[in-house]
Amino acid sequence: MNFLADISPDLIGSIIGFLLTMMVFSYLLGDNGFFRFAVSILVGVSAGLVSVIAWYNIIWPQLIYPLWDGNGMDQMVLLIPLAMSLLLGTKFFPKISKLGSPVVAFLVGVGAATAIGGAVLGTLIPQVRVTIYQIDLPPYDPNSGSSFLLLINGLIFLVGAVSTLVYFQFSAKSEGKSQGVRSIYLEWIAQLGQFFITVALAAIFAGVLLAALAAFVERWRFIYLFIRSFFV
Amino acid sequence: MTDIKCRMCGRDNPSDLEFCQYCHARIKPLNSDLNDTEPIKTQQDLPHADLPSWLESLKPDSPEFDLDDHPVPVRNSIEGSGPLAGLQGVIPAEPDISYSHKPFGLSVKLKVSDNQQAHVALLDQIIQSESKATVISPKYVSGPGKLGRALLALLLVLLILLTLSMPRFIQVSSPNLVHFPSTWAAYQVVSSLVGDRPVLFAVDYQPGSSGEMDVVAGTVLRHLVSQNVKVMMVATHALGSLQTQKLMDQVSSETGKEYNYSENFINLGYIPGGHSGLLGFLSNPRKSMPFSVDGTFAWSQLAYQDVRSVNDFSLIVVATENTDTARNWIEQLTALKNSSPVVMAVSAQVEPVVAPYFAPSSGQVTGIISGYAGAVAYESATYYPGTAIQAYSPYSLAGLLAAAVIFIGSLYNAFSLLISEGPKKERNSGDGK
Repeated sequence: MNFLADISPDLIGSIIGFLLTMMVFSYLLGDNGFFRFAVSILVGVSAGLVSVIAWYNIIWPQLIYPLWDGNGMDQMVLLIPLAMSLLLGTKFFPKISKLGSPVVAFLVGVGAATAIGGAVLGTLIPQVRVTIYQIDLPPYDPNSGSSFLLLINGLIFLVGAVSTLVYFQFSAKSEGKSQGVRSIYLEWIAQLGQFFITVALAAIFAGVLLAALAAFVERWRFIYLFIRSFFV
Repeated sequence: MTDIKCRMCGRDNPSDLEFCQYCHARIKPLNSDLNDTEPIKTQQDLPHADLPSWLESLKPDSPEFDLDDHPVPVRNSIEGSGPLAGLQGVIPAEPDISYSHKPFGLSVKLKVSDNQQAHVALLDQIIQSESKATVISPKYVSGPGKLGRALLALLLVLLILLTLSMPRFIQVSSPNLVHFPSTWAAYQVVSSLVGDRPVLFAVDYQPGSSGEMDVVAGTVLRHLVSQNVKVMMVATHALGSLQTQKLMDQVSSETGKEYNYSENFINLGYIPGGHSGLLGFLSNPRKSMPFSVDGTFAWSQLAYQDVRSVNDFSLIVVATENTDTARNWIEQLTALKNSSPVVMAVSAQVEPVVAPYFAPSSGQVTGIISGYAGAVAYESATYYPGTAIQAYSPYSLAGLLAAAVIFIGSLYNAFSLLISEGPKKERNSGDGK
C-alpha cells in the first residue's frame, strides 16, 4: 500500500504514456487489438474533451451566463444566436430538420465569403505582387554585384508561376471531329509547369517525412528517458 | 309580284315590305341594294393573299396539309335535353372555339449542320470518357514485406537509442542561425520586443503533433518568457487550448521562471467559428473573447487594457502543424491590414506553404521557425537550450537513414524496372518483324 501511495501522478501519466506508445508501435507487426484499443482511446478522449471545451469555453460563458445575468439589451441580442442554435439543433430530428437549413446556409455563406475574401486579399494579390517585384530589379550598383543573381531568381519565380498556371489550362481548339489538342508551345510550357509542381510536391513530402520522424524520435526519447529514470 | 315568306313566323308578305306585317321581323337584308348591283364573290374569285410560308402550310388546300392529321370533329350526337331533345345534328349554343382539343401535331424537322453534329459527337465523347476510369497498367514495384518493415523500424530505433545513450560520442553539430534567414528574422523580432504591450500566441496544433510542435513552439515561448513579456494565448482548434497550459508548464520548468496565470499570461481558450470566428476575434478581440478559460474577465489586467484591435499586440506568434490554419491566420491578418509583426512557428511539413509569405517584398510574415532544424537554430542563439538541441542528433541521423533507405529503394526499383522492361521491348520489336 505504501508503494502505491508513493506513486506520483507524473509517474502514472508516464506509465500510461509508455503503454499507449508501445500499443501504437505494435502496428509495425500488423493490425492488432492493442493498436485499435489505443486508437479508440485517442478518439474517445478527443471527442469528450471537445464536448467539455464547447460547454465551458463557449456555451456557458458566451451564451447562457450572459442571458442569465446580462443587461436587457445584451439579452435581446443574445436571443438571436440562441434561436439559431435551437434551429440548428433540429438537424438531429429528420422530420423537422428543414428548420435548421437556413442557419446552415447562413453559416456556410458567411464562412465562404470570409475565406474567399481572405484568399483574394491575403494570398492572390500579394503573391502576384511579389512575383512582379521579383523582376523589378533595383538600380545597378557596381559594388554589390548581385543584380545578375537577383535577375535569375526573379526569372525562376516568373517562369515557375506562369508555367504552373499554364499546366492547369485545359481548354483547346477543336478541329472538326478530332479531339482538341493544345498547341505545341503550350504543351512545352505545361511540361515545365509539371516540373515545378513536382518539385513543390517533393518539398511538401520531405516536410511530412521530417515531421513524422520528429514525432518518432520524440516518442523514443520519451521511452528512453522513462526506462532510464528507474536506474539513474 | 311574288310574296316574301317571313323566316320567323312563316307567313306571306308583299314584296315591297321590309318588315313582316305580322311579327315585325326583317324580311329583306340591309344591303339589298348592293346585292342587286354586285354579284356575291365566291372563294375562287377572291385574290390570293401573300401569307407566310408557315401559315400557308397550315391551310387545308396546301399540298403539305394532310387531312388525316387534322380530323374535323363531326357532331352526330342526339340532343339529350331541352326543347330540342331527340334531334340529331343540332348546332351547339357554344361556339366551336370554346371546345378544347389536342393541338395539331406539326412535325418540325431540326436542321443540324455537319459541323454542329461534329461538336455534338465530340461533347458526347468527352462525357463518355469522364465516366471511364483510366486503367493503369500494373507495374511491379518491389518493397519490403512485413519482416522488412519491422527490420527497418528496428534499425531506426536502435540508431535513435544509441545516439541518445552516447551523446558525447555521437553528436551532430547544430545548424547556424545565420543560414536560416527566416529564423534569424524571427529571433531578431522577439529579441527587440520592448514595452508592456502583450504578445498574442496562438497554440493551434493537435495533441498528435505535440512531439514536434511542443519543441518548435516551446523555443519561441521560452525566449518570450525569458524577456518577461506578457502573453495572451488563444487557439482556433478545440484541442489546441488544452496544449496551452501544458506548453506553459513545460517552458516554466525549463526556464525556472514562475510565470503566473493572469499576472504574466492569460489563456483565452478556443475561438469557435473557423474563418469567420478568427476574423471576428482579430477585428475586435475584446468583444469576441471577453472571458479567459477560468471564467474571469480577461481584459481587466493593466497590460491588456489598451488592446482594442490586433494591431495593439506587440507581436503575433502562430504555432501550427496545419497548412490551412497557417494560411487562414496570414490571410485574415493581411485582410485586416495588420501592422504587428507575425512569426510562424510551424511544423516542417507546413514550411513550403508558409515560405512564400516571408518573401521580403511580401512582408506578410516577419519570421519562420520550421521543424526541429529551425528550432535548434533558434535555440542555439538563446540562453535556454531545450529539447530541440538534445534531440537533434538522433533526429538528424534518423533522417539520414530514412533518406538513404528511400534513395537505395528508388534506385533498386528503377534498375529492376529497366531490367524487366528491356527483354520485353526486344521481344515486342522481334514480334513486329
